[in-house]
Amino acid sequence: MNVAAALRPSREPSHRALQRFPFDKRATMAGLVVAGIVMAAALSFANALWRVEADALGALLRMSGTPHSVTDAPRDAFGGAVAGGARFTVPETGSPIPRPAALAGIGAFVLASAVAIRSRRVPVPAKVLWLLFAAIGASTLWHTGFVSGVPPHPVRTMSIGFQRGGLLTVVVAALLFAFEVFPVPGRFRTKAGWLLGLCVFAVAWSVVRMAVVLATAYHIGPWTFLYLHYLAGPVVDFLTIVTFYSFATYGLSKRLEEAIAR
Amino acid sequence: MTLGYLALVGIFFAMIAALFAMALVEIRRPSDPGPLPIDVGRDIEHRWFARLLRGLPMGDVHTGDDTDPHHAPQLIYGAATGPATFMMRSNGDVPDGGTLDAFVCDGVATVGPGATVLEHVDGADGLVIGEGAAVGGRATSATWILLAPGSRVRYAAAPHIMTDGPAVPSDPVPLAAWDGSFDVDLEWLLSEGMPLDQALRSLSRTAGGTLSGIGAVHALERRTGLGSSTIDLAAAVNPWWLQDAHGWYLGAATARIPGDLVLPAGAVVPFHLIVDGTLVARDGAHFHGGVSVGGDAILFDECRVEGSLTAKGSVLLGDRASVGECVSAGGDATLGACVLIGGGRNGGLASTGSVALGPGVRVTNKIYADAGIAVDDAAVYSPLPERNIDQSSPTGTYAP
Amino acid sequence: MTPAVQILSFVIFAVISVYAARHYRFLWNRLFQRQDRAYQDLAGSYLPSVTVIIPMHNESRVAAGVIEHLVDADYPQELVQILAVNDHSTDDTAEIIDAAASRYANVTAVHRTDPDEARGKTEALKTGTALATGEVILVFDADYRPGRGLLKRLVAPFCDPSVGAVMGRVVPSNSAANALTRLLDLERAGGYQANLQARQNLALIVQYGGTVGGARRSVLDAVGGWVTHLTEDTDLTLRIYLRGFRVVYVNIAECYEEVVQDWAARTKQLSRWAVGHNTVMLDYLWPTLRSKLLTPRQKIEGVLLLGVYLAPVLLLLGWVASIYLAFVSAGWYLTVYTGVLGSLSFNAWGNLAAFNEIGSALLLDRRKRSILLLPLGVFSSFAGMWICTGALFKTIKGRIRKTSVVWDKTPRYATDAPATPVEPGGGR
Repeated sequence: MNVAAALRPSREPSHRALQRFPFDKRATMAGLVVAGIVMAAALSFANALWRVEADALGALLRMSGTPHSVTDAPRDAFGGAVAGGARFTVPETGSPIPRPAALAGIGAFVLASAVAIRSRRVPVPAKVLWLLFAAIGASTLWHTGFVSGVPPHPVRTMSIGFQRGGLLTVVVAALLFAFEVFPVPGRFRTKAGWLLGLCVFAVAWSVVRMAVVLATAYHIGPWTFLYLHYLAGPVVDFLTIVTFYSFATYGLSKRLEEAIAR
Repeated sequence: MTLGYLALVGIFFAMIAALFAMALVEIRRPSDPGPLPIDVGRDIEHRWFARLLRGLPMGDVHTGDDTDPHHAPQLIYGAATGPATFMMRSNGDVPDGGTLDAFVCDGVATVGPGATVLEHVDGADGLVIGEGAAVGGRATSATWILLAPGSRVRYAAAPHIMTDGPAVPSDPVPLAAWDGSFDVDLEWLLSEGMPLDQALRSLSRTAGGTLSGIGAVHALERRTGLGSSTIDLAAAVNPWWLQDAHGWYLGAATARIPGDLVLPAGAVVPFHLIVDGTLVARDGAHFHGGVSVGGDAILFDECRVEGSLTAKGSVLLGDRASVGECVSAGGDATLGACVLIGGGRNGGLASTGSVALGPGVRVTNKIYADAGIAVDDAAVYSPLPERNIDQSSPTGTYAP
Repeated sequence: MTPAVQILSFVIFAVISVYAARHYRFLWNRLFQRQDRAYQDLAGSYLPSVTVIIPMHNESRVAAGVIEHLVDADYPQELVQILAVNDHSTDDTAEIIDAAASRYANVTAVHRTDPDEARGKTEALKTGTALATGEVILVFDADYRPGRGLLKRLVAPFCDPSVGAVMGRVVPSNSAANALTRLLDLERAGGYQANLQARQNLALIVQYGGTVGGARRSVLDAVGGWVTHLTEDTDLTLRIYLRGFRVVYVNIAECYEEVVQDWAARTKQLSRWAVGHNTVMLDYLWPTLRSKLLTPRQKIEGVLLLGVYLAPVLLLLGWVASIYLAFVSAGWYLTVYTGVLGSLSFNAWGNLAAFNEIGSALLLDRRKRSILLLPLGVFSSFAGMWICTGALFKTIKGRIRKTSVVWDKTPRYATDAPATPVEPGGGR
C-alpha cells in the first residue's frame, strides 16, 4: 500500500458538496472565440448554407415523390440574409372538410381528451402531449370547417430562412457551449467536436423537417403542418440542444479528474 | 403516398429517436443505476489517518523501537528512498530540521524546531510543534497540542490547543442563570425608562453575580410579548450604546444592526447580536449571546463573547479576549495574547483565510485555516513547505 | 385580441428570460465560484441540545429504521431527544415506537389518537415541539436514514445567531426503481447540488425543505411556530427571512429519501407542492417586497422563488399564445416573431437553463451515465406544465372558496438505503 499517497491531503479530491471546477480562462476564451466564429459563420455564410439546404431539400422532395417548384425569395438590402433562401411550393391537395366531419372530429378529440385526463393508466407526460395534439387538431378542424374552409397556414409554400434553416439553433447552441461547456475542465476537441455535431444535426434536422412538412402537406393534407411545426419542431429543436449538451458533458465527465488535476 | 415518402418519414422519426437513443439505452441497461453513494456511516473524525495508520500491517510502516522511547528515525531526507512514514509505539521526536511524510505516536509526539511533517502528525498523549516547525496536513491529538512560536500548521484538532506564552488565559466567570424572581423587577426598571443593560447590571449586583441577559430577554418576551414582531431596537430595549446606530429587535433574544456598529468600552450586549456591516467593540465589551457579523469583527482587549462569533470578513481578537463557543472567520483571524476560545463541548476556530495566534492562546477542539495557522506574527507570511498544501487551492480543495 | 396576446407573449418572454438568467447565474456560481461551506469546518465543534421530531402516520415499514439510525448517531446522546410522533396510525406504528422508547432512554413515543383533533404532519410537529427540550429542533420523515455524522453537520450552522433554520441535501435511495425515479433523481440533483448551493453561496433566499433540516427553537417560537399549511416548510422559510433571520443550506449533509415511483403519486405530490407554494406566494409576495430586512437581491430572489411554480404555467401559456398568433398571422414578421419567440423563449431559453443546471449537478456528482438521461427530462417538463397549471387553478379556487388544507401522505416503498463502504478519506 502506498501509505504516503493514501494520506496526502492536498491531493484528496474535495467532497462533491463543496467542490467547484477551476476556472480556466484560456478554455473560456477559446469557447467564446469558437462561439463567435460559429455565429459569424452562420450569419456570413447563411446564403451559401441555404443554397446547400435547398439542394438537399429538393433531393428529399424528389425522393418522396413530391412535385414542387422552387423560386428565389425576395431579397432585401442586406443581400437576402433576412429574407432567406429558396422558396418551395407544392401543389394544392386535399379538399375542404365538410362541417359535419369537422364537428365529428372535434367531438372525437374532446372525448378522447376527457378519457385521457381521467385515465390513471396514462402517464402524465403522455396526457400533456395528447392534449397539445388534440388542441391543435380540434382548433384546426374548427378553423377549416367553420371559419375559412382551409386550415390556418395552409402550407404549400415554405421558405428556407434563419429559423427554419436551423441557424437559430446553431446560434443558441454556440452561446450555450461558450458559457456552459467550454469553461468546464476537459479536452478542447471533445467540446468543439460535440458543438460541431450539434450544428450539423441541427441543420440536417431542419432540412428533413421542412421536407417532411411539404411532402406531408402534399401527400396527406395541409393541416398536418401545424403538428409538425408546432409540436415536433420546437420540441425537437430544444431536444437537439439538450441531447448534444448531455453528450458533451458526458464526454467531459469521463476524464474530469485528470483534467482537474492538470 | 409513395415509398419514398415513407422513407422520408422514416428518416424524420429516426432522427427524433436518435436523440433519445442513448437515454433509452441507459434506462434499459443502467450502468449508473443506483443511488448516489453517500456514506451513511461516516463520522466527523479528526484523527482518521492515525486510526488508518495504526490499523496497517507492520511491514507497511516504519515503526520505532519500543525499548528506546525517544528513538529518532534517520530523518534527513534529501532524496528519500525509504519509507517516510513513521509510527512510534511510545513517545517520539522528529528532530530539528528533519522531514517526514507522516508521524503517528502512541505517546507524546514532538516535532522539533525547524522540522517538517509534510502530511499528518498525531500524538495520542500529546503533541508539541516546536519553534519554526511545520505540519502540512493535520496535527491531532487525543489530549493536547502545544504550538511553539514560529510553528505553522493548517489543521489542529485536540481537546486543548494552546500556544506557548508567558501567561495562560484564565477562564471567565460564567454568567449566572436568569432567576425568574427578577422578572417583575426587570419589568419595572424598564418601565421606568432604564436601558436593559443597565437594568441587568443593577439586578446582577443584587444577585451577587452577572445575570445572563439572554435569560432576561427571554423572560421579557414571555411576559410582555416582546419579539412577537420585529420592532425598532431602541423602542424594544433601548441599549445606551446604540447612540446613532439604528437596529431592529427580531425576537428570539436577537437584535440586528443593518449597518456598521462601534461599541464603546465596557458596553454590555445582553442578547444575541447580528451586525450586517463591520463590528468594532472597544475594550471590555461583553456580549451575553452570540455575535454574527456581515463584515469584519474587531474586538479589542478583554472583550468577551459568551456564545459564538461568526464573521463573513476577518476577525481580530485583542489580548485576553474570550469567546465561549466557536469562532468562524470568512477572512483572516488574528488572536492576541491569552485569548481563550471555547469551553466544555463547544469550541473551535475556523478561517477561510489564515489564522495568526499570539502567545498564551487556548482553543478547544479545533483550529482550521485554509491558508495556514501561524504562531507569532513573523511566521504568518512565510509559505508552508512546498510539497503539501496547495494554498491557492484552485479547486477549492476542502480537506479540514 | 391579437395585440393583447402579443403583449402577453412579450411579458411571458421577459419573465422566462429572468428565470433563465437566474438559473444561468446559479449555474456559473456553482461550477466556478467559491463555495460557502456552511460552517462545516466547525462541524463537531458546536454541539447544542437537539430534539429530533419524526412525524409518523402508518409508518410500520420504516419506523424502526429511522429511530435506530438516530440512536446510532455520532452525537452525545444525552444531548439528543428523539420524539417519534404517532399521528393516528392504524397499523403497528404505535407498538413499534413504544418498543423503541422502552429500549432507549432518549426516545419518547408520542401518540396522537384523539379522533376529534386535527391530523397531519404540521399537527404532529406542533405536538412534538410542545414537548421538545432542545435548543435546536430537527425534523426527519420516517423513511429517512440519517447518517452518523448528519446531526453534527446539520447543527453546526446554528453557532451563528443569524441562522434560524438549516436544510440538508436529500438524495433519492430508490432511484433505480424505474424511469420516473431516475428522472426525479436528476431533478433532486439539480435542485440541491446546483440550485440551493448557489443560493447559499450568493446569500439569497435558501429554502427550508421540511425534512433533513430543522429550526432554532427560539426562532421558531418567535415567528409563530409551525403553521398548518400544504407547504409548511416554504411558509416557515418566508417567515424566518421576513423576521430578519436566515436559512442555511448544508450541501454536505446528505441523507437518503424515497421518491415517488409512479406518475399518479408524482402528480399528487407536485400538485400539493405547487398549490402550497402558490398560496405562500399570495400571502407573502407583498410583505417580501416591503420588507426592510431583506436586501434588494433577496427581494428579487424572493419574488422569483415565490413564483417558481408559475414558470411552467407561463411556458405553456406562451406556447399556446404563439400558436394563436400563428393562427391569426398578420404578416411575415409576425410569423418570424412568433417562431423566434416560440423557440427561443419557451423552449431553448426557458427550459434549457434548468436542464443545464441538472447537467452541471450530475457532473459535480460524477454521475456520468445519468447525464445521458437529460433528454428524457423533457417529459417531466411537460408533466410539470400540466400539473402546475392545474395547481394554479386549484389555488385560485381554494382562495375564493376559502377551503381548508387536505393533507395527502406520500406513499412509502420501504426500500433499504444502500450500504456503502467508508471512504478512506475519513470524516470531514
